[in-house]
Amino acid sequence: MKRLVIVVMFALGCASDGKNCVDCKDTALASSLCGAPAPACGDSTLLVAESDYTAPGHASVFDLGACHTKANVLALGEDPVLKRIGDQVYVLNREGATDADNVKAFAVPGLAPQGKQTSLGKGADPYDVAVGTDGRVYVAEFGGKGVGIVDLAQGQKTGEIDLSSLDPDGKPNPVALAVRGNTLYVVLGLLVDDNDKYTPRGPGKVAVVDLASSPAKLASTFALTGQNPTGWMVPEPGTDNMLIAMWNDLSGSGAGIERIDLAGQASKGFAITSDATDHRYIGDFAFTSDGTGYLLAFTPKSTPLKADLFRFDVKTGRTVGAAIFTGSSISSLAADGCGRLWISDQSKDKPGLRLIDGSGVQNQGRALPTALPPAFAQGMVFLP
Amino acid sequence: MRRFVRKAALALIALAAGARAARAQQPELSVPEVRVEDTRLAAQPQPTEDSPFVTVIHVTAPGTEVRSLAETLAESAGVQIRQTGGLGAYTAVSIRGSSSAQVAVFLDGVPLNRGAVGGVDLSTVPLDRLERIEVYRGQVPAELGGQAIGGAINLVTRGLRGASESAASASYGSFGTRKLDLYRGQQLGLWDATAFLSYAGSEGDFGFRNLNGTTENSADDFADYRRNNDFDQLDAHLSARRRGLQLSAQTFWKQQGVPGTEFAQIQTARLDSLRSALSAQAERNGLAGVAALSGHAQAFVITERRHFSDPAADMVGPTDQVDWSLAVGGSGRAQLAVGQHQLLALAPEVTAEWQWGDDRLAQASSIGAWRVQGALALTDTIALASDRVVLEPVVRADLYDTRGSAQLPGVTAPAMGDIERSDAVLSPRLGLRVRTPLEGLVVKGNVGRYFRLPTFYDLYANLGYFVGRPDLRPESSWNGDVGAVYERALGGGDARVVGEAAFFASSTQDLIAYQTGVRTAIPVNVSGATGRGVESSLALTARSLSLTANYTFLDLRADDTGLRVAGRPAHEGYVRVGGDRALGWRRWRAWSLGGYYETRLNAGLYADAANTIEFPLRTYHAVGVHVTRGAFTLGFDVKNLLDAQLEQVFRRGSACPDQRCLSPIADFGGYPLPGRAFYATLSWKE
Repeated sequence: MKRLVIVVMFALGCASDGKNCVDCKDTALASSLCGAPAPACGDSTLLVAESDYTAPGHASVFDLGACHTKANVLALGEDPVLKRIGDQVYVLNREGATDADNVKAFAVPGLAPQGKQTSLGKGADPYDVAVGTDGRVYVAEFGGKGVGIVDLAQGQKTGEIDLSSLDPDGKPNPVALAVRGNTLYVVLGLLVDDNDKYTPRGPGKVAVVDLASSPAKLASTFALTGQNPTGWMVPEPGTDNMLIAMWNDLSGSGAGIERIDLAGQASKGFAITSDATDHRYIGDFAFTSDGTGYLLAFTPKSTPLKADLFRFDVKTGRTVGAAIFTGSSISSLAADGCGRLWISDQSKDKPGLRLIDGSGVQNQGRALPTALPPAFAQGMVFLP
Repeated sequence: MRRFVRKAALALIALAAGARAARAQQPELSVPEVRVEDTRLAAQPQPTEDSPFVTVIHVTAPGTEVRSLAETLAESAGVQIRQTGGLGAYTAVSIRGSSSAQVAVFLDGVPLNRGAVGGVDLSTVPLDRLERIEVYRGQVPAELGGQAIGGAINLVTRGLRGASESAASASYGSFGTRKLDLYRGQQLGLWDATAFLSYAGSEGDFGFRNLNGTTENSADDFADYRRNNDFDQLDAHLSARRRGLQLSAQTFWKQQGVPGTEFAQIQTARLDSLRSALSAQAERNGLAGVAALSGHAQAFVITERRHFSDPAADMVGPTDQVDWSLAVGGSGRAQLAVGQHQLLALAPEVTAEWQWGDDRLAQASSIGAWRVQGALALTDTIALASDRVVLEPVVRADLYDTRGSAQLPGVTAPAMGDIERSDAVLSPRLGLRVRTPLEGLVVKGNVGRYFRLPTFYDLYANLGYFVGRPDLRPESSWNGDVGAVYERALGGGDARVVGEAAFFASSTQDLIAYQTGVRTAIPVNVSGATGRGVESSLALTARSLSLTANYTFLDLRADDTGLRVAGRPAHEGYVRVGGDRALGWRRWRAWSLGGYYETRLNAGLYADAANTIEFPLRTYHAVGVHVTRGAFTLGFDVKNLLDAQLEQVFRRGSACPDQRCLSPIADFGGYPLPGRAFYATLSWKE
């Protein structure tokens, strides 16, 4: 049996460096997964950003079929996020002591570096990345004036779309980007930056940027319904709308998930409000391939932050049933192509990944372990 | 996670301080008969006469070189120093892999650790006023408290030798560093009075390679210099001693820039610190007419004020914050010789500390807490087997009552009511030392339990991102060590050798770490760490030559992962050789020439908990020469002789060539250390 395990590890490319491999067969749910063939319904691996925020982090690859983690495959910064766009994975390293405010890219598959790690400058605090039809890379700079334009091949920031006029403090806090043709949509938080609480000034905005003009310029804006947009825009299943979480003042009122019609340049109001989650604000949400929605509802001012996982129906704007899972320090969701939901759990005593499969089976006990706690937001991408 | 890392740096630099109890001095058990031998205050521990492994570092001050307390502590095995920059920068000490907050630091018996944060910034203690430094590693005397998981450092100020003495020194050097020390000691009637005044300052504007925030892209690196890294500090100390009584007054003021990380240098953030203390110690033999009964008592009051300002919101938003602390305490020790071979000591202790702060911009109180501590320690020293074996059981009980007032809730933090908390902690210890038939060789062993209470900020903070938790458990640790000490005069007393080797182990539970979450960082009790290692040291003095060397191996691993704890090197070594020689030539007969060479190294150091970032072997060299004629000495020093500023850091999974990224040498990530520096010192003494 021991020999068999070694053979399997070698086949997974880990035998030469066993300390970087984490076996998860001792967890409750994993026992039903281990040894199972890789699912044919989608991507076969999950790339997970991990960090304890005190030192630079890294990314691990989790084999969805073999239930096995190969740790430390990519070096990341102290506060990293990952985003897959086409055949590239982009890494945004946000404010950190050593590896900060930069962007880099890797090829899918293989994770070979594409271009150079590119600095965005002190205080840029990148939150989202998008690629234009011309291949140019745009980065939302939460702490900057707007959107940076970078040339990864040269390793240089080549320009900036200045949106500072939209916020009295000159920092409009862009959090999410989307490209449609030659138009870049930039969701702005419009927060008060001169304190450390980042309170919203009022409803957020979407800046509409014309990429066809040279240089790219602000074409128009439209107001959002809610305040304090957080996270990225997610396509609403079966529609052309985008959805984004609105945190308001984190009190649990006036929050929810807002529906945005980019083409029509209009907010369509809340798809689901915090009233539906018993006055908790929605931290993250995701849809599985069959259109099932899941959301994480955070209890305001709980320490540590209490999170409840609900199914929800985006059409009716209601949660479905009772909370599937309740925990603390769980903060991020990602859905694979097999109808399964992956949850990042940062709790100090049991950090790792949690999994909800299509039948609702979940690993309630110890999370599938990762080498460091998974990043709390936008830290999971699926790879072939 | 916005700005969390910056906030962590702020907390590190701006809030460093921590609380503990006073030390009474223990008369030594002496063989073959038990007697109270040393009645001087601040009796010096002896490596062969104390059960704990202790290093005593003697300071020659005002010295002939520009030297900090941190540099001097490298002379002790088991001690690790980390700094955020050069002279005057935040300096944290670790003993046997502990955190800074797990090391108790005393200045003439006055505890410098404050309840707000815990750790002591050693850059706020000038070296030149000290006579000696006592470093207790792993095990500490009961009088130095229970909150000493790593150990304790007792700093002893200079006392008068002879009828009068005076000294002065002035230094100048690289990065605009300047320093002036004045010392005067004189007998005034029955009193020995000393006065010490010191100024030090630096621009701290050393050059470094700025990585531009991209560790994997060296093409965008550029030459930069440290900004807002200056400091000025004044230290004054008055002391009066007569037989059995000592009165001290000291004040320390420092204003400094808070420079931020290399990539995000901060231009305007400033920190001003003011610390003042009064203390009195008294001791007497033959208490209550009983010849075998001796006593010691100490009282102190210490205040600290810290003012952090960041008007340009460079770090965390506009900040104008003033924090105060006030601590008063007293301790006593009564010691009774029971027959010829036993000493019993009872040591009560009481300390009260208040902490409060004002947010001048919000016009609100930011934190208000107080803690009262009472402790009682019972020590028995038993000499057996014709006094060749000494057994020293100790039991110490600490009671704490901590209260915090309700705070203004942050955006994400829960509204807190007034908090009350009580802790009762027992720290039993047992020491054993055996005098072997080989003269000068003593075998020692110790085991003991220590703890560290959560700080006020751990419990009550409500600072936006940092949110306290009142239900934290104290950190606790079982420490043990065994080893041998050899001390002997050689060559008819002209030379002396002290050698030491020890194995140590520790098991720490309930470590307090900050967990970063959505817009908050909260403290939690995590699993512990297990450490073991070996310390060895050699000190040799022969005529005017001296050699000090030590090596420490440390294997400290997190219990939950089995990986090495970040920031704690597996190997540390230190060598210093020095000497003075009178010039025998006719014209130069009144002159003497001296110098030193010093090297430090460490290896097996990881930057992260996952052990994916490993630093290469680090070496540091310094050299100095000085010439003396009469009362005057002129010295020149070169620190970081080889100008080591960059290193190839292994980063697993990075795109750097061979996964090795060129990075500035730093103890704390993002805070580069200075390169080669030159200093000149002119000193005078009589």
